[in-house]
Amino acid sequence: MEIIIRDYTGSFAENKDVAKELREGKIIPANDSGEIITLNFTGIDSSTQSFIHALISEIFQINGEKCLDMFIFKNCNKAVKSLIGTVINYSLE
Amino acid sequence: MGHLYIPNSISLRNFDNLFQNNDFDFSDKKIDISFHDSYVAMAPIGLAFYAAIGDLIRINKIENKATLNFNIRSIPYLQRMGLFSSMGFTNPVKTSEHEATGRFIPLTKIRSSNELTQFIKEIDPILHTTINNSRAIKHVFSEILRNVIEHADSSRGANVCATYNKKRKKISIGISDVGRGLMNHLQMNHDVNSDKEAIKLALTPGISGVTNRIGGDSENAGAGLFFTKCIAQSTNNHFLIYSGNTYFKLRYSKKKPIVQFNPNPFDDFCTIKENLPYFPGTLVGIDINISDDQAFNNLIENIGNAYRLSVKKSQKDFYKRIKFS
Repeated sequence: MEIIIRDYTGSFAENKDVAKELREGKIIPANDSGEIITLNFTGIDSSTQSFIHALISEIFQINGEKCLDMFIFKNCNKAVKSLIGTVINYSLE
Repeated sequence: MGHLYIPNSISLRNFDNLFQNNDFDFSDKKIDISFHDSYVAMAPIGLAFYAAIGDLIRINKIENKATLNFNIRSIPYLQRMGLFSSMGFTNPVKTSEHEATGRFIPLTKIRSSNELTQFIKEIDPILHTTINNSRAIKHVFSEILRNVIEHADSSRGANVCATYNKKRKKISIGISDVGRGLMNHLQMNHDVNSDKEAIKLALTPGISGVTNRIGGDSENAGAGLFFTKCIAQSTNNHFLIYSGNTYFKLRYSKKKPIVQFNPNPFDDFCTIKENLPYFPGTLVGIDINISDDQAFNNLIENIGNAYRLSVKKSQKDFYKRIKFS
């Protein structure tokens, strides 16, 4: 499953309500059924730590390191990569 | 009758001027407002504070009157920034209104998540910033204003304004609300008995008001204010937060650039003042001058590492195993 983040957030991904909807409505169900999830950040100039946290932190906390093989982060710029790396690093023990 | 005196100058550097001859006691529902007689210089922190006073005036139906010397040269600036209207007064002088583009964001109300999203979309054209050099600014606006929307329980939303100093390439931001304040919010899940303790917890990485779990919950990492403070710290700027009867002000030394982010904010080079006049909500002020893309990327990495080490106590780095394509 692929989610084009920009379709939901515009170029600055910061709306945590949207992140929660994506997490609960798409990411968790796809993860539960064992699908590889591609989060496509094409057209995202930047984001916030809170948005990325609300999007993926819970699922990495619950499922641990195996999530690293279940997620692909596509077309992230350096700022977004930094935020994703930061959130995954603190979410995994 | 309560009295509110608006002094000659208010900024993050000289924030204590705010308390000159003021106790913010409006319990008799009447308030007499007076301005410094010759000049009033006011940075966004001051504008946001008086907008919050305007909210209190409306909420508590306080009868107010003001005395103003119409010869004060900064009246057009204060008026354009929305000071008088936010306090419930008609604008004192007739001016031709300049477009905000490139210089400032006047006092603006943000009451919902969608209003915040719209506000952030308009920042680049207003402040003449580019997508690459406004990342830190947008990050700060989003984190602080979402805190207000989600946690402050403020019936009048948030007040926000900003100014841009082109010469110093510095953006000054002020954000306020008259919600329940940090202590009341944090008491929901933490044992906290003073405004000073509440401010300390609010700035500590991994502490969120919505849970007692270190590291927060699925929607709150307890990192927003910590990231914001670190952004100011790393660019050698001031950051201030005032709630209840206490404020915390991050100071900086031009000679000693900050190299580490302390999990305990009271270990920072800072000033903490207690027993101040009681402010029921929360006021935040920050100056930022990040203009370089790489600086922001490194900054987020460094702040993120500080957060991880203080919350998880782990040195493990998973970055290389993340699948970026």
